[in-house]
Amino acid sequence: MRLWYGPNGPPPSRWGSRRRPLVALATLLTVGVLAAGCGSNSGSGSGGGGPYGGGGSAPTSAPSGVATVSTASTGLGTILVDGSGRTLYLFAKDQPDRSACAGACVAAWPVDPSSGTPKAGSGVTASLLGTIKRGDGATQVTYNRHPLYYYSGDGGAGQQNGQGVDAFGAKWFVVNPAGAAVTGG
Amino acid sequence: MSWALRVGTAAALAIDAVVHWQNAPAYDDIGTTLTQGALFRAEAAAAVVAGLLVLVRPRRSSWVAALLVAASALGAVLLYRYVDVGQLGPLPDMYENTWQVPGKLLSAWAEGAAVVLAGLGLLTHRGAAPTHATAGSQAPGGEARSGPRLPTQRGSNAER
Repeated sequence: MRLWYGPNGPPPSRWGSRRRPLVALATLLTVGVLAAGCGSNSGSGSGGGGPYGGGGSAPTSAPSGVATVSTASTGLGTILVDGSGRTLYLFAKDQPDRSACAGACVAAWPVDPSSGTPKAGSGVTASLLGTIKRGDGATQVTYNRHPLYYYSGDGGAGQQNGQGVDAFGAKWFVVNPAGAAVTGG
Repeated sequence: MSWALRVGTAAALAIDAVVHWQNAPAYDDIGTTLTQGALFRAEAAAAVVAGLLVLVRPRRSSWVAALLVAASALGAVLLYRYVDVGQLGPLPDMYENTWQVPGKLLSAWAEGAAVVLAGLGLLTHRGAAPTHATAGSQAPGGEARSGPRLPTQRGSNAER
């Protein structure tokens, strides 16, 4: 629908046409700064899914102290879990004793940290446990030289929502007591 | 209304840009000649440019650019979330069957909002308003006018 304003053109706007772009630009910059501020929290690594993770509730935050790796019987078979029963994963893109996950990846897949030599729980071969030093200085638990991670999409113990997920360039799997990926399920 | 559409579109594109830019480093080693990280940075740059165009130069072409940038990004994230299409020509395999990536869901919502807002902006775009109308001049939008007339003249019996 077009309105014909007459020979003098449209009536002057309340804001004045020269101010509008400036106001709009200021709004854009404000939104951008706010979004950047929120996003900067998401790359810190050890938290859950970050502010945009969607589902990364409190149980997904990685524990501190000396880690314990244990096993649990699940629908995927017997797999590695931490001391509180939360599922641990390996990343198929990792090299032995070297993590290929950083930045946004670590926000989605928090590392299993340990302040010392990890403890072997029931069903776990102690000689397969180890640690690596990450680029940010954190210590990450390894099993059979696979760096271990949590998944921010797991709400707590007994969940394996990350099994078979393809993200950040490769798949993620739960780990059996022999230290191999469980590719089924 | 136009002002709100412009700011809303630009804000949605800004969110899209920030998320892609921040997540790009985690995807730098996916792909060979053209990496997923590079594509994320290109998307961020395109979103910034389109958002600024809509803000400072709200012409038809600017709305089209914003719509294309947002629609292509939304299409890509939905495609690679649900369909494993593998490597497509120079494009790396960007399949990722999870939303559990920082900002991914927010960015997808922002892209959807930008598609809707830019589409509305394009549909309601009226071009530059006339400043000097003369008898027999061409009105914006290509409607031939025989001279100035009031809105109440529209739909009169003489036009039917």
